[in-house]
Amino acid sequence: MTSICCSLFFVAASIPVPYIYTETPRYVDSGGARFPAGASLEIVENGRKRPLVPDFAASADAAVSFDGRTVLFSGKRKSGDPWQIWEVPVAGGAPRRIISFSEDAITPLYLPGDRVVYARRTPHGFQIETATLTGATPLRLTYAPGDHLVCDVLRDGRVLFEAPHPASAGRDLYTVYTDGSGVETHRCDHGRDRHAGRELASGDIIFELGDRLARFTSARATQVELPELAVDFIGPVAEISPDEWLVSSRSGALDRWRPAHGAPEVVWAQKGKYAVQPVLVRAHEVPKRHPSGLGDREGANLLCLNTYVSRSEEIPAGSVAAVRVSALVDSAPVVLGQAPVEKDGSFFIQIPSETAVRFELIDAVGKTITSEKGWFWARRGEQRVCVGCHAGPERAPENASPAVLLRTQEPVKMALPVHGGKQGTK
Amino acid sequence: MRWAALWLAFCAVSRATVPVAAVRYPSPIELAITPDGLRLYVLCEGTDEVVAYDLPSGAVCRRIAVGRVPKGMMLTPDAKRLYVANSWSDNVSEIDTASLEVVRTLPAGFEPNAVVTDRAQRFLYVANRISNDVSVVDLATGLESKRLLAGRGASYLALSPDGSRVYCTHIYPKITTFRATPESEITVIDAARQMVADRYGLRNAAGVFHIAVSADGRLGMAAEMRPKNLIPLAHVEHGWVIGNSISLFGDDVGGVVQIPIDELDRYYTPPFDIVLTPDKSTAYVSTTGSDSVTVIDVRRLLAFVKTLSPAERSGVANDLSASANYVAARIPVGQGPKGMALAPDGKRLYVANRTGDTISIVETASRRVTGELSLGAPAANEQRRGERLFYKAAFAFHGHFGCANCHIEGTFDGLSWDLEPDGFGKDYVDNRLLEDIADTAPFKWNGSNPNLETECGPRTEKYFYRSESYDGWQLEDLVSFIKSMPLRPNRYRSAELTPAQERGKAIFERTRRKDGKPIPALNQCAVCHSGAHYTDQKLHDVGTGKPTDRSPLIDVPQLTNIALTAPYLHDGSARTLEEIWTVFNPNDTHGVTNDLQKDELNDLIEYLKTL
Repeated sequence: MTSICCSLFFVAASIPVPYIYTETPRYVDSGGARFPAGASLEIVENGRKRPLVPDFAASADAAVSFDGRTVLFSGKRKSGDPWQIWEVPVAGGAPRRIISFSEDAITPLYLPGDRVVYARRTPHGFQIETATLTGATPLRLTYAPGDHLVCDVLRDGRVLFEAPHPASAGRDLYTVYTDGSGVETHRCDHGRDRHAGRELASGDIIFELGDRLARFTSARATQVELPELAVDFIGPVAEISPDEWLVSSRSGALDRWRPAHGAPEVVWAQKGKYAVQPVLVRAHEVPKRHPSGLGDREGANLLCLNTYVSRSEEIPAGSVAAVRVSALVDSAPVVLGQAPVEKDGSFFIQIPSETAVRFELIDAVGKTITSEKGWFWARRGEQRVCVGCHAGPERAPENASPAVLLRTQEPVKMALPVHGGKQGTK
Repeated sequence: MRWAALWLAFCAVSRATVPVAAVRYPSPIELAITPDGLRLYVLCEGTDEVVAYDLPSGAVCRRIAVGRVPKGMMLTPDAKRLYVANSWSDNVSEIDTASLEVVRTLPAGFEPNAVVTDRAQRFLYVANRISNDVSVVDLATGLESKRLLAGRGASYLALSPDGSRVYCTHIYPKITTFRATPESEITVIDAARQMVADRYGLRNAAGVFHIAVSADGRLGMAAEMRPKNLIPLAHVEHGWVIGNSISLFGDDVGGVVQIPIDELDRYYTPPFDIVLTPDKSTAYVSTTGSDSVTVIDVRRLLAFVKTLSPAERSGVANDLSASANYVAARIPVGQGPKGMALAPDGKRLYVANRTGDTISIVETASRRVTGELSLGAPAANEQRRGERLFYKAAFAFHGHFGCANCHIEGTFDGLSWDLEPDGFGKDYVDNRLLEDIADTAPFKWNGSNPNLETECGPRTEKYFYRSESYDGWQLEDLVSFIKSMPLRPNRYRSAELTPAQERGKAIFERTRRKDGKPIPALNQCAVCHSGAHYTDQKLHDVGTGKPTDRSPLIDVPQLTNIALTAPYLHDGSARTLEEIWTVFNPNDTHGVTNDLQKDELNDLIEYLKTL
């Protein structure tokens, strides 16, 4: 967990686009409790700022609608309220409550089709959901333990989010479709504590990495680090124009930074306040809608083409005899069963849906060869396919008929334990 | 509400102002530039002509009418002759570039697609797409002297700089056993002897297009697709559907190395033409569905290939991060880029935008489009708009592929696919020719799609593209284009049937076995294969279902141009028409054929080829 302290200077400048930021006396850069001393959204136009929702006890997490006219935010009308999701016109007017929970709901973003995505507090950490703009038909997208916080909605229609990752020494960036299917880490090089990702107009994703920024580009399987500066950045970046960004620094200031032109320029700083989470108030492209292909089936099917394909370790050829599947049940791992792995490394299983699961590869005597460190899930009716075990998104599949499908078209079923009973392979 | 109605009415009128029928679009497909850089020849397959441009002025010098649907063009090194392959006329036009007149028409095989001469201009080589061979035409006599067997769908040719070799690629994979790995080849012809000298195997390649050879002859590059038809099509990301690739060959690399041009989150598809600079520093690759040209730094590419271990060489085509090592730029150009030509001074690259009906002029130093030549095309009607959509890859997730990736130029890809919604390893689907399908509903072999709007709309969006795709009007345009696809000439049909075709027709229409016993109506060929398209458009169980099929009922396929579209049966399990009866009809459930002799089956095939 990292927190930043107050600075004692006051500078005012302007950028050509109105913007909103979250002003706070203290910002904790970890999980859901980010503003322990309160926060308020401020909108800046022509160098003048005003509170976006002056009647609120707390407000944060601004997200501007695709047409640039309204703002989603998380807010507390009264100080004792939980954080909830609201919408307010940029031009002013009464905020409209979208989500009414007894738990906190934060980090909202607009989705195409008049829906929103946000993170909701649960006993297992913040989990991501979508709902309509009236709060109806909520749909949970994430099912692994830990805080899952929405970072951005990518133009390809996927939700970019941050969540814990055991190989990342903290958080990593993941993507998931808006029906909760297809969850995966965006890249598999797993750097240290990646979070606060935002997509740029180029399609690159820029994110915070410790106290500096890095980016993912389409062409590379690993992150590209940005020039190291004396300034430490924190939180998400707002893109003013290609290669010109509005960024928050750990000093509390809001900076305009053009990486090609050296050091950042302070555009806003206020004594005793921190300006974080900048967003520009302007229309922007509507992401593509994801046409859900979930079928009407029990559980989810998972086909792995070749367990021996892995970017992280060498798995001796012919060593894998079976895959063992565990699920997280009542916060404890439970072995659901195991399925044979074919000579070509393929296996085909049915796993329980909406449940955190993970795999181990085992040899002929049941000894673990390698095991998954984190958890993932699949949705009901999802048909998941993967190249190998931690093959990485850069690895396209080899075009070969999986041996398991030549033997059978029926997956080995793994079911959750019946209450009080033991569970095995069906 | 009233305004909305008026707006819709206005739009409807606007969209209807361009007549659908009788509009021809130039559809530039290949380019050639003179050694002095002053004249550009543009081959227009849509208007059956070569348009000659004076480049200094940008003016059209002449429009030269050639044969039907010209596909390939070659300017001789002395720039005195231009040869044009007329794919629907089955011949080659020889053009005198001084007079800009067609001076001779030369013979070719079925559907000539590309032409090249040897250095002495003694022989003309013609790649024939339907007859799967290369015609060798003696230019002194104007007669075809021999045919050389090439790959299936032989389509593109290149002459090595020393004139010793002619290379030929093909767009359909070889016909192999059911669900086997697709295989293609580069056919290497010894130009001194006009004989096939070698065949370079291209593993897992299907859809191989242009080929380029460096000036020093040490590096060859062939544009190709690497389909993933053997694994379930369950998602699109991570190169799951098609790999867009270049096959490298020659002394610079030793053997064949397939390298990807895609990235992790973006695809550049399908690679069509390749232009190598004379100094071998740069290769330009047009990618038709992505409306772009990929620029490859060849020196970096060769250095990268040298670092690969033998295992890495065989697997690098599946590494989507590899292209970062050698792709220098992506240049957006017009719609549907196809053939290209580099100015002799290397300063400009000309790109034929087939569905945009323009020529993009790319300044190679800045790698930007700095100008455009217009071909004076009429405004796009709904079919033309639909054609643009058909070739566009932007609708699939991350721009991975478009309709034309699998339905190559409106046809098929010769592959059997495992689509996802039915489950994994079930209901394999043989890809089909799209020509003449307007009145053949329902679609898909199990008849699950009642019309093309369903097939191309929600089904394509959900199970192929897996991303928001066509809006209502776009879908209307796309379907209109597909329904309008012209049917290519049938090469086996003439005014009168041959005796063998007549005998085959009698078998097709027979109602009794050879022993005189009646054949039940639903077991007679001509009952189910009836009507204008030889389909009754109904589902029947003819015993050709497989254990992996969810239902034995098969939508009766149309038989139009059936000779072109192997493999056969709903899943592509029959490699030839003959195998339909000799392998997959043991109990006479798919017509009565077991009382027929080999020569009678041959007769039946001869007749079917005329349909």
